[in-house]
Amino acid sequence: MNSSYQESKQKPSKSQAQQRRQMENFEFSQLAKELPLARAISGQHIDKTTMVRLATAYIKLFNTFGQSRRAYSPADYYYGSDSAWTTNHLDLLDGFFAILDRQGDVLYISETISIYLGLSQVEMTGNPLVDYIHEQDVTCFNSALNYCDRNWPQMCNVRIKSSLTKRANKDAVRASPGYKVLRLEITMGLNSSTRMIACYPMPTPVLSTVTIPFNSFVIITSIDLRITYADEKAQQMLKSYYSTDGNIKGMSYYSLIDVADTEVISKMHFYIFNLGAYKTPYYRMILNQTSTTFYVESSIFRHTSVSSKQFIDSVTFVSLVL
Amino acid sequence: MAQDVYMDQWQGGFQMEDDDLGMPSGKYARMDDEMGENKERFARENHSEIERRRRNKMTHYINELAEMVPQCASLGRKPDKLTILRMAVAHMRGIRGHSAQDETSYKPSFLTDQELKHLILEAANGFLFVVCCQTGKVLYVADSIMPVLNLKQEEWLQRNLNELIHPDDQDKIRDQLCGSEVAVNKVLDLKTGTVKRDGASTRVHMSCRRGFICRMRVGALEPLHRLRNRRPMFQHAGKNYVVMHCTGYIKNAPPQGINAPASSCLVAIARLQIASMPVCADPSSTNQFSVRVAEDGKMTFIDSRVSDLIGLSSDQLIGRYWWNLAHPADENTLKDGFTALFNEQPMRVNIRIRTNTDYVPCTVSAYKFVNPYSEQFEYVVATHQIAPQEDVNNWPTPAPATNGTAAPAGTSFEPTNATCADYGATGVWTNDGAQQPQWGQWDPMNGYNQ
Repeated sequence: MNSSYQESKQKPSKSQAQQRRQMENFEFSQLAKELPLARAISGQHIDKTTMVRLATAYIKLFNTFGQSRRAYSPADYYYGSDSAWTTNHLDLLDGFFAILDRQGDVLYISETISIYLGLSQVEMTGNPLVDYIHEQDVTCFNSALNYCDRNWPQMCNVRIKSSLTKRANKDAVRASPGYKVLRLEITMGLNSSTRMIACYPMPTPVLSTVTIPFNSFVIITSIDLRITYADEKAQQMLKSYYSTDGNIKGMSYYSLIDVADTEVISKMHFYIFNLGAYKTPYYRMILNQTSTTFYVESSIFRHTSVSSKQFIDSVTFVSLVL
Repeated sequence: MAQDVYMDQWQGGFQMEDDDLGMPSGKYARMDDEMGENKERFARENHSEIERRRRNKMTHYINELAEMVPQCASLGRKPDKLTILRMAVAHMRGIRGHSAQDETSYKPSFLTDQELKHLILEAANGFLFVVCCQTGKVLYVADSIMPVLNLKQEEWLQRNLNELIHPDDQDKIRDQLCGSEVAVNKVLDLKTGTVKRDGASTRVHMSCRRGFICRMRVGALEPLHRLRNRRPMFQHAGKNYVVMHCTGYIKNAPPQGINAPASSCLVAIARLQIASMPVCADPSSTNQFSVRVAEDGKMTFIDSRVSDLIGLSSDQLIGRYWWNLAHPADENTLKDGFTALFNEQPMRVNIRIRTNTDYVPCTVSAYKFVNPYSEQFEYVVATHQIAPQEDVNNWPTPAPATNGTAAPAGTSFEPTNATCADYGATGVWTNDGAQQPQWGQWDPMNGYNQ
């Protein structure tokens, strides 16, 4: 009697649970179809938690842009008739984009992130971006996020996880293997709680070499920013009339920059130790020790290598005249 | 079931170890059993822990989804999982149907093309353009150029790019349009600073990539709202230019939909890096100039605003002692302040400084800049704020302590007659032409001889 009662109660509930699961699975597969992903991905590789995470992010993203759709009428200049031209926008850029919500969760991240960092859009969407940022850089990132205002976009250099970096070897004692340095430009989003981030990765040195623009000039300094090498172009623009042959070797890099921009370089000097690479905002250098200044933008690389003979620790400035 | 699988794995592992070691079972058999049991329990606990975490995560995500789906929110009670899923699917369909794209050409994406364009405009201040490599003619430009460069699409279309950029950048652009990648990039060895011209390591498909900076003309549609108070701007022949970062690639033929003769084209996005721009000095602070002073007290850099403010060019001043800038009566104040800086005392003094004809009251503040790494002295940075006229009248006239005494010895260019220390007596210097400091004929070496 007892056992049969249990059986009768258990059996329907078992089949009920089974039925419920079946229905749930059906809805999950329907949800997967609605996700804005290529069929090849949405059909197979995504687990149910990811589906729900992506769906939530997608709806949030739609709500964000839905508001903007109302804000700007089609007649507005923000939208035109050139949609045929917009399909390859992401391929043209040397970086990728992210949109974060109030909590710092990723609402959108371009699929092109995989080219630069080897991370996947599916994995990151809906998760907090700080999970991918080096712990030492989180404070810097968060303050840039908070200081960002409608009129004041912020920029910062941070390390973000990447599966495309090599392990540290003796020839390049990387500051943090498994991470890549990116320059982030943070703008306030369509409403004041969202943030839009343009992410531009720094070139990663391959076997201590790095590809640089043809018209850039190069200055190498020791770790205290005393100049140890300057190429011809740098020498030409920055020569000093105070030393006998005009050579800038041995001078401090700080003495080449406009005093108003000293902070740009001292901030860089501080960050380069941890990051290993850095991109500066625009700053002014002094033309041949006169009062004339010119704007430059520099990519900076710290190169460290250990050999039996010596320990090299140098800072390389690759600068472009604006 | 799942646990069976785990158990098998563990046991299999142990068996293999036994075999590998070639150990007779028996003595160790019981020990294996015990360990196996422990491991099994451990695995089971571990597994249920993982399952629990997975379920919690799922519940969290489902709840979050429920908050985002309006149909769920309007229910008034917490719906079950199945209902949430059904409503979410319905809502997603509503959203997707909204974009109404036909299935064949539809490429699924989180953002529509228009939204992406908007994102590029808002987050990068960028717009797309296409230029013919042979003629330099602009074949296409997105309408989003308008808020970025403050001009209309029509001002770019069919124009030569050379007319739209800074004259000094025209050669640079020609290289980008016509040259191969070898001509636009070089490879630098960070170890030695040597440059290899051949980009052997660059991938083949990257060879058509382009990335460069150039200055583009800003239009006059409305006051520069995008730039606000960020700079720099460049002026040339009465026109304003801003720095744009361009990235894109060279295509062998004009992209589809563009009516243009067959020729290679540059397809690129130009963007304004507003966040990289220095904050433009507040207009009220334009009555100040900065000076860099070396350890010996000589000025090594003076910003060019100095000539507008005091009528003396920086070339006349560089190499001189900083305190020579001050009124003879105030020279010692400045000198003492400078010495005190080395004892970690910040400096802020009100003194009179020289102009080409006269003396003006000025607030000088200075700090010592040390190298953050070596903590070695680099230089002193001094800011000179010329006091506005209305403030000057309220200034307490400093006691003429050095009144009547000669200026410090050795300053040959100083007028010996310092009795006219009263800076208010404008015209004293100009009337007394012979005593006027001869700044114009200053010999640079003079500074070193002092």
